[in-house]
Amino acid sequence: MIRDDHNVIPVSMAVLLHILLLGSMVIAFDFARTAPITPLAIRATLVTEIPEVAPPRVIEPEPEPEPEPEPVVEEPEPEPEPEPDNSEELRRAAEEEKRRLDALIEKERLEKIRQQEEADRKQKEKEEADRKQKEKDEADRKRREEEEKERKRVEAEKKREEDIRRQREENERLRKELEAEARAEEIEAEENRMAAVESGALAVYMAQIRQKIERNWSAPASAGAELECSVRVRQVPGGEVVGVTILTCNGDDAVKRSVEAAIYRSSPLPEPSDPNLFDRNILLNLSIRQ
Amino acid sequence: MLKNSKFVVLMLALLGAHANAELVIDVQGMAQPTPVAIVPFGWGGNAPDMPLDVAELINNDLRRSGRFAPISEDDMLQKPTSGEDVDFDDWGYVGVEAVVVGSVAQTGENAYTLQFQLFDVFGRRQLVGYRMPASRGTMRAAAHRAADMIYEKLTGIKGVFGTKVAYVTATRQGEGRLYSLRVSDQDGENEHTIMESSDPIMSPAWSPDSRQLAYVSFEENKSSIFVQTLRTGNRFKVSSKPGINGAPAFSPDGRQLVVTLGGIDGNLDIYTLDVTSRQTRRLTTHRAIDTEGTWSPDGRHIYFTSDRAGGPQVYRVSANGGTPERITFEGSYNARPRLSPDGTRLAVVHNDRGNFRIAVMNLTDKNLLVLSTGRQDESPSFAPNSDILIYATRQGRDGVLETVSADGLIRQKMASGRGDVREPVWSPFPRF
Repeated sequence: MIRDDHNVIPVSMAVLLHILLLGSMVIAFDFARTAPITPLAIRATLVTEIPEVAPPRVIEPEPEPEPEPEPVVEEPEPEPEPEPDNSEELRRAAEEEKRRLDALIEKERLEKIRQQEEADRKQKEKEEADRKQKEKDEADRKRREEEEKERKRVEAEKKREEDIRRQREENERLRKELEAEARAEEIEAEENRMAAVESGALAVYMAQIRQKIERNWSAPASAGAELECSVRVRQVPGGEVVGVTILTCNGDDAVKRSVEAAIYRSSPLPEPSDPNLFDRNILLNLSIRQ
Repeated sequence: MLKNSKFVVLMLALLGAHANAELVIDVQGMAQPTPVAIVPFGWGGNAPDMPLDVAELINNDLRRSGRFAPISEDDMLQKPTSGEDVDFDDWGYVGVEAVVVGSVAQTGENAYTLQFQLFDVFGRRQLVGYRMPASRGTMRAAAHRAADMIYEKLTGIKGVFGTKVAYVTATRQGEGRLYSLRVSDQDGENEHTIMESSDPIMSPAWSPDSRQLAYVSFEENKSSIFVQTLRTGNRFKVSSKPGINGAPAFSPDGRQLVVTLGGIDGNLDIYTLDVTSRQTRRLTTHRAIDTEGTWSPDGRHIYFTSDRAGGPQVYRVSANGGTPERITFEGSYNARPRLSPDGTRLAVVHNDRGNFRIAVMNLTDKNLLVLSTGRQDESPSFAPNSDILIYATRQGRDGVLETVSADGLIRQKMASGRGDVREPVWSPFPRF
């Protein structure tokens, strides 16, 4: 006996069982998937209404942003400095020179910044335009795909409708053919039956049924001279009696039972020499021989 | 083309007519024996055999009625003893219309339960089923009762297997004869002697409750009318007037008898006699023979034989008296009238071209139907179901009993009595 302190075996068995159950469910689901039912050839197929499909949404590209006007930086022309006096003028000229240089440097620096900003802005704009283009391309692709799908669907639907219509026509043609055939057969059978009736075969057939039932009818003591019973007998080809209905009968229960018994005892009823004379329904009028 | 389509329309009309129509066949039936099966009964008891073969008794009852043809045990495909084991297909295959199954169980030292069921084979249903207590002594009566219920279900007419018959026998005894008044079951079994005498016994008659018999005895060399209770054997003399005291018959209420009294002058006339007070009332006064009186079932008339017109003919008179009215006209001899219990027919002894035979006259259309074939037939008596008669006929020098159906189709000899058997009278229905 193996010790199983941690219930390893039952637990693992339970786990295994669950896996099996799950597996079986998956398999069962697989089995449950039924094969598509092809419509019966002879029946009209129900045509499902095709839902109106919304027209594909047209994606309007966003308007290109107007390029911003370049800022025009107008450098003010420096005011002409009045000529200084010599010494003073020299110093002033030097100062002036320095200031002019400084201004120039400052101007260059500003220009550089402006250029940098301009480059950044251009880069940004380009990126934005690229993104927009990409989105637009993607939307176009999707729209084309949708359109293609829809086209295919409509085409398939058209084909299906066409198939159904053809099948219907075919069925109708077959039905008409069969009907015509059956009618011809019926007419022929009726002609044969009439011929058989004229030949006396019907009289023989009826006499055979009458005699068999008379042989098998043990009219009970309570059946009097005034007895009249009308009974419907249903038979199947071969003569087997499948139903007896007493329509009217002035006899008592014993008489009714005897009538039913006589008919069932006579089953199978005689078969006609000509199958065209066979009749599923027979009406018997029973009385007592005086 | 037009012609063709017209033809098709015509044919379709014909087809339609044919599809709705059916073969109509007239069938004329006859009374012929119904095939049935009485399966041997099951037995649950201490002894190896049941006290009475119930199935055999029912089988004999039905067969003897002439209306049934029970199949033999060898022809049975199965022998169930209770309803749940009955296979209708098997019995339908054998061709029987009805099956009887049953069993006898012992519930005490002399206590049994008889159970039976009757099945309609083609209708596939039970028609009747009963469980009845019985002792060894009453087993036979219980089995007859079962046969009666089966008979009634299948024929629509009450069975008479449980009834009895009374008759008189005469046997040689030394130089003289021994006369016995006997009662047996209608099948001749279970015979009991009610009264014995070396002097003649005549004209037994059942009381309506079937507990008493009236009869004429010539004890002490004179005729007297007695009424005897069967169970106790007690009897009392109700008429012992001078001259002939004869031909008693009970009124439907059992209080009176109609009797024939001769009086001192020997002129036989019809009287009523109150059983309790013994008072008589004269109904006929003609100097011709008036005798063999019997009551109509409604108690209003008394039918009797009279030769007032020359030969014997049947007349009737109101039970309160009055002018008799002639009933029979056919032939030169119509005597010993007995009415069917349903009041529709009159049985007589009729002279049929020199032979005395039992005939039944329909009281509505007056048609007479001769039922028996003997030369010296006598004493017709209807069974209580009005469907069968019993009478005595000669076989060699002795009288024997025969039964015949009221339509004359079924005749049976009754194996009963020893010696010369006469004057059978069928009992009323037993009262349970």
